[in-house]
Amino acid sequence: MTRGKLAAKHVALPLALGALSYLVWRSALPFWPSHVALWKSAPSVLRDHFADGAWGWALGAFVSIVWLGERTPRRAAWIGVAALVAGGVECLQYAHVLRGAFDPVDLVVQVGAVVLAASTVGGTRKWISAPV
Amino acid sequence: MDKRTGLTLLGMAGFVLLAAGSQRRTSISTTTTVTTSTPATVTPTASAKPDPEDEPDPTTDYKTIDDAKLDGKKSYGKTLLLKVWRGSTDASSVTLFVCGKVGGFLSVKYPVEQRALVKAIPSTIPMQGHCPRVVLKITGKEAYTDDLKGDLQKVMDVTPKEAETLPPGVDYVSMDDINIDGKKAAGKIAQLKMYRGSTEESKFTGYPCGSAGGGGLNFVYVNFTADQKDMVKDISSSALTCEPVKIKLTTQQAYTSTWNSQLVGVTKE
Repeated sequence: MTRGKLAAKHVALPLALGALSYLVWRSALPFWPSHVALWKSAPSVLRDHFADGAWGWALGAFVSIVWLGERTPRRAAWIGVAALVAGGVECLQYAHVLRGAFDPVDLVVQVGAVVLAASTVGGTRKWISAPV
Repeated sequence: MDKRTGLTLLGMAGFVLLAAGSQRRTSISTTTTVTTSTPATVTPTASAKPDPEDEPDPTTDYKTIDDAKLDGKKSYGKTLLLKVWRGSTDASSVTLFVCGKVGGFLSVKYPVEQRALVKAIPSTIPMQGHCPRVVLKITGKEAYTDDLKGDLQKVMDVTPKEAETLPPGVDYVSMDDINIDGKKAAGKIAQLKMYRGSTEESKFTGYPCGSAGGGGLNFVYVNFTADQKDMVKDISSSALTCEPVKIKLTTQQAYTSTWNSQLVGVTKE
């Protein structure tokens, strides 16, 4: 699979799904028949964490795709930076630098999604020990 | 700096901006501060202001459901300030959902004179605006769950929603009013802007659009006769093009409270 296709599948699609989740779970759009008010337990996971996970996945996949074929230590270092960025975004909310409510579950979901995506995306070409 | 590094840094900046942007649009943070020493000084008035920043928070005993729950029975009779949106609404009670990631909900009784204010509470999570503040008096907990229940004392930050103007021969123009009237609505005529969902041989699900919708149940089953099939075909099945459909409310289902109705006609605008 080319980098472009990987990016479409693992970066653009998760971001689109995350945006869609906001529309479906949080908006007044009438197309969703199971009104969120009627679904008292399930939506909190979908409403509060799905988009964060999708964002984290897209970030991890983006870095992984850019550094596809690069030496393992360098690629791992950049993935580590991406994980720090993901965690940092949530911590900045705690520090009230970014607007929003700090949520430890979001922190785990976002960082976890970055690491999971980075270690999954790229198939057999993902880790090499020598420079290309 | 090589190309890859530049692209990575640029991409990361984009992701951070995206995250910051989405927080601005959707996250409504809730405070976790608790005031436990001062008793409530709230009155069940009907005053309301459209701008939440205008009026400071009233003094209440609690500001989160969790804090009230942690006090157990001691919390009964005390007041709670929350930012909310509303779900199922009937003539005397409403399910209020707490805005923000902390979440939670509770069932609240309200007096008839606060109906216009209750109706003004958004029936979905506000995307950009503020959730209105309400003050509740905790009265106990639900019979079979740990969820608290209460009485509504004050609704802030909203303008009372006036009664709808009804066309001649029509009793309702919104699901909200139908839900609020409950079984009293049986036999009455509603004209709702709606689109057609799942359609069967003699029945379709109608989804009210925009202001015709409301808190809680937001669809209605519409039965139709064989000679009304052409009329049904004319009703849009897209949420983007809703049409005023006149229905006669017949029965309300026992457990789901969903309304069954009979198609009367489609009004062309």
